[in-house]
Amino acid sequence: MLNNPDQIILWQYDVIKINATLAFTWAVMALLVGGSFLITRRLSVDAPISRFQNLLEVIVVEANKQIRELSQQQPERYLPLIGTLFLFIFVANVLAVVPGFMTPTGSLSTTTALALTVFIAVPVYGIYRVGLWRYLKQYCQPNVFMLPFNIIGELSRTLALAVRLYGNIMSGTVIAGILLSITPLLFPVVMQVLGLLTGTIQAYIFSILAMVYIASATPKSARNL
Amino acid sequence: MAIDWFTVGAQMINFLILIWLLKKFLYRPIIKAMASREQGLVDRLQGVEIQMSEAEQLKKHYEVNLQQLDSDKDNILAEARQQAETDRTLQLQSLNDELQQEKKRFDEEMYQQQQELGGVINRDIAEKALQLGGKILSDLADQSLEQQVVEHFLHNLAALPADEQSVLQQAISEDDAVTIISRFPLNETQRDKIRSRLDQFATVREIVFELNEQLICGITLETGGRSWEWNIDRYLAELEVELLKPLE
Repeated sequence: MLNNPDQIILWQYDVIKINATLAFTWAVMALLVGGSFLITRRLSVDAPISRFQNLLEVIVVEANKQIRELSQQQPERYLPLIGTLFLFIFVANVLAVVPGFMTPTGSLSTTTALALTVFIAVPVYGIYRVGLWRYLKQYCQPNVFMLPFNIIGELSRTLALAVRLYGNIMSGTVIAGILLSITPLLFPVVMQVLGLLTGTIQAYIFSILAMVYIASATPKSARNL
Repeated sequence: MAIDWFTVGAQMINFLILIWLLKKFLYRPIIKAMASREQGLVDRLQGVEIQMSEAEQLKKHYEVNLQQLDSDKDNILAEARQQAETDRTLQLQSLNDELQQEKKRFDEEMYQQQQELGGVINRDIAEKALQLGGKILSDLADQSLEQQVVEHFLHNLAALPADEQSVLQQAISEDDAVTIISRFPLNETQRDKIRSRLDQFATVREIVFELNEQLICGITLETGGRSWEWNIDRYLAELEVELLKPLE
């Protein structure tokens, strides 16, 4: 019943293998990069602006706005990570309505990879922002006995991030599969629409949470606009 | 649900590549475009502000000019009005003078025509009166009047001044004959009276009595190339001269 795209092997050489997850990930990447390239190839500074450029500008501006609100910092540094997280998850989830397309976010490997990326990005941004010593000191707050708990908290939230996205996307697929077997025709279409909404919300939530984690790893004194 | 760690690693690499590509093809160009647009807007706003201030200055300049023009216009209008008033007065004055001259000339012509007409009328009246007087006298003239005329003539001869008497005397004595011209034939008595009176001046050799119907009433003595007469005609001629003299 569960179609794990990881298990569909397209090509394999020893441990190196290309499965459906990677293939569809590349498809999403190609779509994003190709679309961006085509749109930003001819950017106009003055009016009239093409509607696609306008769309991209809206996305960038809104992402910047959200990042600024959450982090209380200048958004430029975080935009590539957070924005790409949102765009990748959003496009992958939306494409789930395309017949035959297996969304990469439906694979626990992908969501784990994204969560691990965030898990690494948190200390990277933190150290970059306030320095190694000051960053590490945060784990001993309010006292040194809290160090293990802080580390466990760090790990658990990364796990939660991965499982949350995976669970939501997979649940959609599972529900659609069950409903198709019970009530075919119209009802699954409604569920697909609901899946679009869920996918969009998940993309938003994943990005926002990533930003929250990164921002929380930065001392308040270092936050400024 | 197993996690394929190769896929996890590959996805992480994929994701990092995607970040890099999107940064290159999406975020950087878009942000750059927006920033340059923002800068363009700022520049344009500054340009607009500069233009606004320039326009404001121009506006003030033109307002001052307009005020100046307004006041100039008032002055020019006032001057023009004054000039027009002066011209009008002058033209009226000139027209009035011309009118007065025309009136004067007309009055003079009228007066002259009246005078001429009056003169003509007066002359006609005088001539008619004289003609009437001559006609009346001519109608009234007869023997008895001739008698009185002769008497009057003789009396006049006697009353002549001394130098005139001597001239008459000399004329009678030098000439052969004395001619007496009258309107009506003189009777013998009258002729004798005349002869005797002439004799008192000088000895008359011959007296010729002639008639002249042209005389209205009167008598003429001619001798020695001279003549003495008493004649109504003469009075009338004198009267005519007297009457018509003021009318000339």
